Amino acid sequence: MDLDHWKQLDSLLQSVLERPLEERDAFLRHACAGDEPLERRVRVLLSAEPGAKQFLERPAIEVAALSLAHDHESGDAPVHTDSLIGQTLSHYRIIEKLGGGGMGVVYKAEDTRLHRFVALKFLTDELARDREALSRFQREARTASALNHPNICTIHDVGKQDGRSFITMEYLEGSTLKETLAGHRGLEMDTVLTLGIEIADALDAAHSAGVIHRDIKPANIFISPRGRAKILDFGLAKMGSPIAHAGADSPTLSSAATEGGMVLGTAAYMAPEQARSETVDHRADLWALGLVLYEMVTGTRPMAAVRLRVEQSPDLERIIAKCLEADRELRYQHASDIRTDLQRLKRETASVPVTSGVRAALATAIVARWKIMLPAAAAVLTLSGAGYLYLHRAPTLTEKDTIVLADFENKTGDPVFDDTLRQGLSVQLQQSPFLSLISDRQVQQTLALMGQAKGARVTAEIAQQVCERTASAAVLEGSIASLGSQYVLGLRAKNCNTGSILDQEQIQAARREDVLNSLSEIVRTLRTRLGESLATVEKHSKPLAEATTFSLEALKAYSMGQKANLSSGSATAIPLFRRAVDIDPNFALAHALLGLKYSDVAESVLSVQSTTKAWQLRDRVSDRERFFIDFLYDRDVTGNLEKAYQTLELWLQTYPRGEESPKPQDLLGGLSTHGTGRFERAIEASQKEIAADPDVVFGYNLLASSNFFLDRFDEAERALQRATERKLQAPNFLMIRYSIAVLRGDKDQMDRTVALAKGKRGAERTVANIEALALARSGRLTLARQSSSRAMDVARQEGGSEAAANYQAARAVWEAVCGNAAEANKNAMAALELSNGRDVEYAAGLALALSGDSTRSQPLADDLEKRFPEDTFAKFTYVPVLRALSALERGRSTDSVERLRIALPYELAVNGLSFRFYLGGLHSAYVRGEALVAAHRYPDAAGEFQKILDHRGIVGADPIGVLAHLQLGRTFALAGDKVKAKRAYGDFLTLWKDADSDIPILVQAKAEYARLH
Amino acid sequence: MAVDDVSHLLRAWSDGDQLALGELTPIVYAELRRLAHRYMRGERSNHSLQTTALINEAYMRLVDYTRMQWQNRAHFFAVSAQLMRRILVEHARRHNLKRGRGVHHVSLDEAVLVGVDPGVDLVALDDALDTLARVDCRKVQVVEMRFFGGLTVEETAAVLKVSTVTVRRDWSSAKIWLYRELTGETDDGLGSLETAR
Repeated sequence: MDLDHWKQLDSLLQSVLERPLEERDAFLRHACAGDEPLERRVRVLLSAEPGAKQFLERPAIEVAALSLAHDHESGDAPVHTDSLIGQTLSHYRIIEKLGGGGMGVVYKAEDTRLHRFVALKFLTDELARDREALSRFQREARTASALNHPNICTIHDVGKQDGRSFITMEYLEGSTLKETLAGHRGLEMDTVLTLGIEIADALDAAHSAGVIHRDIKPANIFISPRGRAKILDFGLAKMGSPIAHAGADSPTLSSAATEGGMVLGTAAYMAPEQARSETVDHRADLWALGLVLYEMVTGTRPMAAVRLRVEQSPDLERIIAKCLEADRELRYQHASDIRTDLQRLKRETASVPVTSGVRAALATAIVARWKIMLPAAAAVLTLSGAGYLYLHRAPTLTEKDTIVLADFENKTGDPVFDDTLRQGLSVQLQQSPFLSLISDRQVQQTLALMGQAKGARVTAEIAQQVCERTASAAVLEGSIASLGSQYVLGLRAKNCNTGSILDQEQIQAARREDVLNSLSEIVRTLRTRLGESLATVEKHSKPLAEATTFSLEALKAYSMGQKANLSSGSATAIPLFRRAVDIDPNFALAHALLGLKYSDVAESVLSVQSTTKAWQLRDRVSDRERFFIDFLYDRDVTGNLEKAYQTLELWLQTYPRGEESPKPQDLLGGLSTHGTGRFERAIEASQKEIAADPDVVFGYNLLASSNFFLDRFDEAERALQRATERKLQAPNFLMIRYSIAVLRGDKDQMDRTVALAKGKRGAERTVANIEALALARSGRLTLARQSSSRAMDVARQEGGSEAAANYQAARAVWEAVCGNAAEANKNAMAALELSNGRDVEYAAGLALALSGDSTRSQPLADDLEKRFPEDTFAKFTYVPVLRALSALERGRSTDSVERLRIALPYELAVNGLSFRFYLGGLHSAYVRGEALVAAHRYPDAAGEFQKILDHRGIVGADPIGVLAHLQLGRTFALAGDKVKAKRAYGDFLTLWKDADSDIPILVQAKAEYARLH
Repeated sequence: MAVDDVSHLLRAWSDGDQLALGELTPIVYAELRRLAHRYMRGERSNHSLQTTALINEAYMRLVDYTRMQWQNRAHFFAVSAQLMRRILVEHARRHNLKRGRGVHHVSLDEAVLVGVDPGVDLVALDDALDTLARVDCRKVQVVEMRFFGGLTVEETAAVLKVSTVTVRRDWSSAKIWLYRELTGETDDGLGSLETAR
């Protein structure tokens, strides 16, 4: 924004306005003196003058009242008297009430951060006062939030504000099954089966996770506009049901039990054992599903006196009867069995795609178009009595559909085509903003649920099942065969619900080298046939050779690297990506992933090399990949985290549906948000990452650390606990757990964590380093040095020289703040010998500067400034802190304070050192406090030291968290406030009661304290 | 609602107590509904003295400064104008959402129906004011006091300690700029500050 331009423009506009109309033109031309852009701008504004006359002349409240009045007259929703509406709780703006039930009230709200609608559920006031009910509400919501299934309404969050607990969940459009059934005499058989399969699958997933619904009924099943089922209120129903509160005495139940186990009234969907108030297990849900199926077919609930009868289908009648066995031992035992039976029935009976009836009416969003039916849908032809190809309305895909890629069927005998073509296909399809693939990770998860071995081949049949389980629309099958010296490539897209073929393409490649090009070609055709507009296909389709590589071998190494990364982590993937770029040095995406993996294992130099290479080649990649490379380059090479963060948000906006890793949702939890203080955004992103895949370590790690940095230690612990429950381990988990224990003074937990870390790669050294901080924090420097040395030794043994350097530099810093200049000096110089990494240079420089050696710290500041001109940490924290200390040393305290001003915006974010827990943050505040003391600005100085005490998470186990008490005492003493000074000194001396007695700062502190009396 | 309570809440809000806003909101909403109700009963046909009186009455009821113990009148006016801006914009935002209306939409038929000049999209106005604030805070204050706070030119001048001429000038040029932003003809985008660099 240019202030001067605005002023010029504004004053000119006012001068013109003061003149009579006829003079304006000449005046303006004269005043602008040939500055055409300026003249044009003024004229544009002038043209708005007549319109602006009456503008804003009525007070705002009148404008608002008029529009409100108009709403009333048009007979719309009445003005809500509900006090919650219009309010913002946490970051949810409440818009309207959606409904209320026995247990709670549900509102529609806008998530102001993600700009999406959500539903908020509140407990009724009565229940909210019941402490036990409340804790159950929260516990159940947490259980339900673990369920991640397309047919279960997702729980996003459990929140509390102003004493009101609420659950945030997916906002659903459509209507409940109850509403859908009202006025219908049953649904079409195909719809019943489709919905039944979805509900059974959802129940199967929930039961596998140990969650029982207990209140399955049409009112709890939502049907989306596209005809998909979503089960509501998972885990919540339990507490609302009479069982949980009243037991068998409940009046609704006592009169309800009838012969044959049928029950009426509110308890109508309860299984007999449930109505008898016996212990209930998952089979109660299967009973209820039987009733729901019956009601979907007939439109009514089975009456006690009427024999169960499903005229349309004896098979379905059998399935329902087996659900409704009064003795649960005779019932279906698992939801998956019901699903299988329904699927079988559907395959046998259906195949005529429903084009009329309820489902079609619901599925208005599906764009249907005329299309030639292919022979594979022969079943349809037989049923309809037509023996030849005919025109038929077959829906192609819509933008909401996802597709599953099957492995290529390789009939050539040449192993280079294994995996490679599927990878190539995946890269090609990911360029499409229209199509969305089920990610490899999701495929693996689904395979595990299906009892398939990890890494099993995704055959056409398995892909079909994955497609059904993930509620995807289609399977894409590919094949390659040799034909003499030529190759024949085939692709086929199949609707996995109906089995109909959506498109089929074939192409020949003359030589092996041409196969990838040919693949690119048919993918383009396929995309348009599946419903993508020609325009986007044109816009986003770089041929494979350009978007990735021309080399089959390089692509093969790359796809193996992706697989290895998924199954066994970064370390195993590195050599494979390395091989890919060795074969094809222009393979940009492989360079980028290599860079990412190197940075995962903290090899910053190698990571910078690979990422830079990828960035130089980034014109060769697709748009989606370019976002990734731009992000990585800013995060790891320039260090401009603000830019890195913006790229992620833009990437997410452009490709909100991307499922393939690396994806922006996952990266948002990390350094770019932590380093710019966007912890809430990080929390949100990590939670999403966990919801998408509960078995990935990163999400928990970042969720725990963001909460830790916000002083939410309980939340951080909870995240770690969730990871532990899933048997996940990471060095960082122990590091965070130990830090929490330090801040809570929980000695037992500290000891336990040290014991747990012992001998574990990565964990032992990180914990030993924080142990050193914690010991230094209580003045036990001799022990602290031992721990620090151990951290360095183990790091060196593990080959992590950069980590060792960071430990030593961190040690130099705490030696310096304790006043041991010689030790600080020695360790700082030794650390610089080991590495010239950005964080090492800063920490060493900080130690030297704190010890009054700015002749040696200034060159380090110069070097940081030169090497990292855009780097967020260097620019806003590292260099300013070093410069400020130097100014302070030369007695220029005001200059020192001024230089630290730039550090303020990111002061409560983490920096490179505190992100990895090498040291704590807020050294900038510590130095500012000292500078303010030197400038005799005591109240301001006290504010800085208090800031350190108030942000325990950001400071972590760093000794300045305790030394701030002493500095506060000194500040008060200088300000003449003896009472406060004594208290602060007292706090410090108590915390250092076990300290080594010869520490310079302690000796001084004691002398100063004595003088206060 | 006792005036003293409003005064107390206003002060709390200006001291950074966000909860106070939550308590003030329903009070303003109640007034808004009362006004709307009067319009519905037919007191909207002509905008006469009666309407003006009605609006004044509304403001008086909300922020009757004469009976309050404020050391600094200017501060009080600034705070209450800001409060009205916050609440009314919030109301409009919710209203827009509920009606599925685009943010920049100014409903002409609505204006015709209720017999006033074209309405103002408060949400878009709020955004535009934020943009303006980056280069010209005083104009934003003037708009806040005149439009959201319902003050006259003279009152505004007194509060801001500037001449009435200045207020008039600020008011007219701010209105032109804002009007242009809101009517949103981006043919050449030259009216926008963003491109005035």
